[in-house]
Amino acid sequence: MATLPGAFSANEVLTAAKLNLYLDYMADLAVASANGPGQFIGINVNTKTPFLSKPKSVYVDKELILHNPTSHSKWEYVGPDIELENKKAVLCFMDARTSSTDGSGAQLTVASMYDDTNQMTMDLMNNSVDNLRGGTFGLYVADREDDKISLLMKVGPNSNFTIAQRRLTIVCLEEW
Amino acid sequence: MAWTTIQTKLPRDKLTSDDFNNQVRGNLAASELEVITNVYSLVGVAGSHSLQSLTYTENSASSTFTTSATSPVAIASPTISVSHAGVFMVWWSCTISITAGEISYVGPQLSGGSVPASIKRTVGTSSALSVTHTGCHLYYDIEESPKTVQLYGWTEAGGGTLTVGQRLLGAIAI
Repeated sequence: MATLPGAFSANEVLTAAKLNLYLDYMADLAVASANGPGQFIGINVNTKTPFLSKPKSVYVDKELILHNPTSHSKWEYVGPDIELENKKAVLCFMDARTSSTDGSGAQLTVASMYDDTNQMTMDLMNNSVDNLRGGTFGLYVADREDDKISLLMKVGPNSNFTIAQRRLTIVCLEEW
Repeated sequence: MAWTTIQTKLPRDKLTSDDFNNQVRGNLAASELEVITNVYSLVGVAGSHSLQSLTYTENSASSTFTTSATSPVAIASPTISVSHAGVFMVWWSCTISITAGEISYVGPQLSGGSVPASIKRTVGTSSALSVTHTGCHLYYDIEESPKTVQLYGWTEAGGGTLTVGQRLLGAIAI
């Protein structure tokens, strides 16, 4: 954890030990770990260390048709998946082509593959039989290290739901 | 601590504790490790030699809002407060439908009426079926900070009822 070294007092002699405290602090600056373009800089406020936040985007083209003939809602992961590795909080953007028939429609959200109750707040909903391309966004906060997230679909009772051309994009805002 | 213009010392210069404290320690105190203290933040530029937290904030609501008004009506929740240095990005996402075949709109407005809701900054639908729509707008040259952002909804002709369900507002200062 980076600690800003103390101030010099008048007449204090500069020693190698004191200079090294400053050099060690400078080695923790973001510029010391910057390794290429296309990244934001975030700060882990708990450890006071910088991290490089590189946006990641995954796309799945294949069409899936989910059929729920039961009288209660059904949850199913439809992908794509993204491993969060050391990321604790990510700003998610998702979009997909969807259509709904025969019932109360379906909702699409971002959820942990280890605990489907840990979800992004906002759902993407389409109660229309028309194929619509839409999207939504939100903050996802992991409750475990090495979490993995995916698009999770909730299909209403007695409903068919078609999904295709779906994308999940993340920007890391916090690391463990 | 404010940034001090970096000097180049000459071999004959006598180094003092002030030199080190201002030139080295003081400038390190202006670095991202000392300035960024909010969670969910990226590093941004506040001004000349000055950094700031770009903190993402969001708020959601799921209560149902309805209106047939033909001019913008405030949707009570959610609201978010954005502290900024003049520029910030707002995203909004909501499920909307309208009973008649006319188009209806949902979009943000800033507190104080300085930047009122406008169809230039909306998502819209003419469908009676609930579908989620998402919009984004970059506000710039906004002088007052913080600013409260709130969603407004209205219809084109007043012949139908706009319904707004689950909604999310998010923002990040730049």
